[in-house]
Amino acid sequence: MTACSREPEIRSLLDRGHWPAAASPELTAHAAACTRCSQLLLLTQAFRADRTRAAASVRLEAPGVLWWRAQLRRRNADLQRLQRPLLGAQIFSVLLSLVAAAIFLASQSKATLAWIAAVPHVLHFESLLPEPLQSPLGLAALIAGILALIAAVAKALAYATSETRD
Amino acid sequence: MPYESAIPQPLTGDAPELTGGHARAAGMDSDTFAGFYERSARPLWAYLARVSGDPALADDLLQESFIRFLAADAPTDGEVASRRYLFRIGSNLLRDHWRRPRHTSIDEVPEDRVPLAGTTEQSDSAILLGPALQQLKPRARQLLWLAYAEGYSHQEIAAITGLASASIRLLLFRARRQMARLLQNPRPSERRPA
Ligand SMILES: [Zn+2]
Repeated sequence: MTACSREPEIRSLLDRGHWPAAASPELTAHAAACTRCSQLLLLTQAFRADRTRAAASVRLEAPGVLWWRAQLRRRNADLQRLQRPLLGAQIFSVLLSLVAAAIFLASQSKATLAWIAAVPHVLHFESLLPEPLQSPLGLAALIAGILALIAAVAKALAYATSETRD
Repeated sequence: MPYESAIPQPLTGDAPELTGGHARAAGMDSDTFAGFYERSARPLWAYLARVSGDPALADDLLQESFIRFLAADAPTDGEVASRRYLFRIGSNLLRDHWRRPRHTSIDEVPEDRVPLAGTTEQSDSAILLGPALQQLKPRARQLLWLAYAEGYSHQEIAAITGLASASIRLLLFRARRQMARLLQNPRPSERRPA
């Protein structure tokens, strides 16, 4: 696995395209006799010829197309990053409104509970409600639950349809 | 801090973390990029196609490499560094491709399962590389290509592939010997028609 001291010389001539024209007869003779150097020559010439052949066979996309696709990806990533804290703030505000509504309802408990309790009676669906929900508190919890569900579904829809997908 | 964040982006193979408000990408304006692309796309395609053995895959990986190059904060200290960075992105994409369920790793892909492009091409050069290359493992093909087709040093190959310099020395020594043998004594069916 020991390298040959003449390798850098030959490599440099190969890199500049000066092999074998600019090589001394002594170096050419060495390369023919030395296993390391003859392998270097064989592989370098074979691989570079194949590289030229392969490179000539490819049809390239216009650079402008890739440029704009990269810009688009960059912009989408920026948007996604900006939207992450925004989404958090929206969820927080929804929760806050629900809590505020609950507090308001509780503060108005007497009148509200009486009003809520009358709703099933007025709309004639009290028999459809299970036993625990027939109390004014149970009804209030049910209404709060429905509101929360609507808020969650709306949020999920808004997120799913946002144009941040790459 | 997750360890991935300490590794340079191309090594993790993830989409690069992006920063906002860039009119230029990778420190290049679109004209500079067009010139860089013109000079580096063909060599990169040749590398991807010959190492993977799949020209269609090479087309895809080529585009993805340039998009990631532009979207990332690529080095701005000259074309040589930019091209090395580009080859690193391409190498990571190749590695990710081999990591997908169908394959386990670049070192374990059976060589005969990967057909090589252009193995039946006629050539002006004295030696046909394709049939010999086809008999090597992808890792050997990759290292030989970087060393002999691109002329990269062991240190540069280490930076591009993420392998240690010491293993590159050993792997390249073996691959070079094997390749030289294959080129000097091709199987009879693979000899060039006279
Ligand atoms: Zn020698």
